[in-house]
Amino acid sequence: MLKKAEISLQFNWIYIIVVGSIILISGFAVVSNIKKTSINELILDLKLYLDTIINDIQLDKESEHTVMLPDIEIEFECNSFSIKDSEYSSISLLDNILFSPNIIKRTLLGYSLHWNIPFTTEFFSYITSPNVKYAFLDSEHSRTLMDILPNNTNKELAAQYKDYNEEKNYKVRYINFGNLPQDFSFGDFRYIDDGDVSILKINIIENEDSFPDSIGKITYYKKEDNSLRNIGEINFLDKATLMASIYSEIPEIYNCNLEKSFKKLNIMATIKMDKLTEYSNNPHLSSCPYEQAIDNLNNMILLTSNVKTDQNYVTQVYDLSKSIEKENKLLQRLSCPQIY
Amino acid sequence: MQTIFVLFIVFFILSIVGIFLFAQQKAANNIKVDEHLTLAQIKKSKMIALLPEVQYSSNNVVLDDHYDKLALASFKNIIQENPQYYKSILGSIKLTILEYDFQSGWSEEVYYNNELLNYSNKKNFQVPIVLTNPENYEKKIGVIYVEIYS
Repeated sequence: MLKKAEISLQFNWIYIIVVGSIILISGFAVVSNIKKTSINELILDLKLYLDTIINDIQLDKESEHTVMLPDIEIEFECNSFSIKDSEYSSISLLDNILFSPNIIKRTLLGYSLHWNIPFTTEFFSYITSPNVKYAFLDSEHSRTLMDILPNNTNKELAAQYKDYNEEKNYKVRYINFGNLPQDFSFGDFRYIDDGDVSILKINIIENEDSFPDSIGKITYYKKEDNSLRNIGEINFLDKATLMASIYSEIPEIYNCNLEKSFKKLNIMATIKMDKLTEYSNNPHLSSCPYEQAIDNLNNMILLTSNVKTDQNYVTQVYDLSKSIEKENKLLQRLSCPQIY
Repeated sequence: MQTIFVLFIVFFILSIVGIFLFAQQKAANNIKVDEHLTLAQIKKSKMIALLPEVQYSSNNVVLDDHYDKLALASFKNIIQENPQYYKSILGSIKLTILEYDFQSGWSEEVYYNNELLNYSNKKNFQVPIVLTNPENYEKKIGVIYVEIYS
């Protein structure tokens, strides 16, 4: 028989083990919760700062931005961006016109331009990574286009299609002004998935002399084993939209942003139209010829009230913008208040 | 009795640590909210200062901090016609522009008002601008006054 004191001593040990285990488990739970919370906080902070960084890139035109990212991937769509595998909701890009690959990791490069069509209508933001290779197949236009891309872009003039089999590149985009070769032999992209190898075939349709401010069509291809799959076409009408097509992952994203830009063009044309109506009602400005400019702006408003992205539509926008530009120059020559 | 007393002290210390952590977390959250508001303020101020809708330009050369008076008048109507679009750009703010005239003094006009009724935070900022009438190139001193609600 155990004595009463021995039973009490054993009970104390059991009691200490139970309470100790509870404290230990609670400690582990608290530490794991703190870790989870701090990761979530880091992602939340990143979201807030990324929103500000993207806004800075947008408004700071023609400046090159380089932002080092922690071990995260940012997913871009037309109207939002989000941090991959995070539980937080995405951030809206409804008020931004942003062209980028679908995934940005390691480092973010940003650049922006005014979209002048012909008056300043919108800020176009261009986002990419130094780990996305842009290979321009050697031609005169390729060299021109390469020069207009920001200096910190990972760009190269290539004599022919070749494998960029370096671990640092996670995407490769070839830009070609000529015909595509019948037979592709890309070889083995050890570090890049097929879906991340793409080719843009650029076809200039009008105003080749004023390239890159020309009208043209671009066909997007993606690598599928040793062949190419046509994933769609887009139309560009100036330098800003041409650059946008180079940065856009797929035609749908480019067209979605172009539609948003045309809607903004409608607003801008309405504001310019209201200004011109005021000018034309001003007796002091009766000698200034605003009729044609009013007509052109009216046509622009009508055209952009039903936005499309096909070649015919894009050409009409381009032609009207050139007419408005011509009218603005005439008003400037006559020392009249200008449209823009 | 001794064991209970030891446990009581342990749980008492744990409670103190818990209360301290909670208070620290609350303070950190307040700092974060303030940081968020400051970032939003910077974002809005830059965005409003560079709105292509109202910036004054001559031969497509946009002059910083110069606002076009005729474009501003049209912009007021445009905001009313596209409320959703400008709500997504400007958010919960009140945008007022003050204009100074040497004869009549200051006058003000509200261009956009999406004031939150039950706001928990409000910040404001002012930016001095030049208001230009493109019809006669007359320039006046102005101030953009923005109130941000959250």
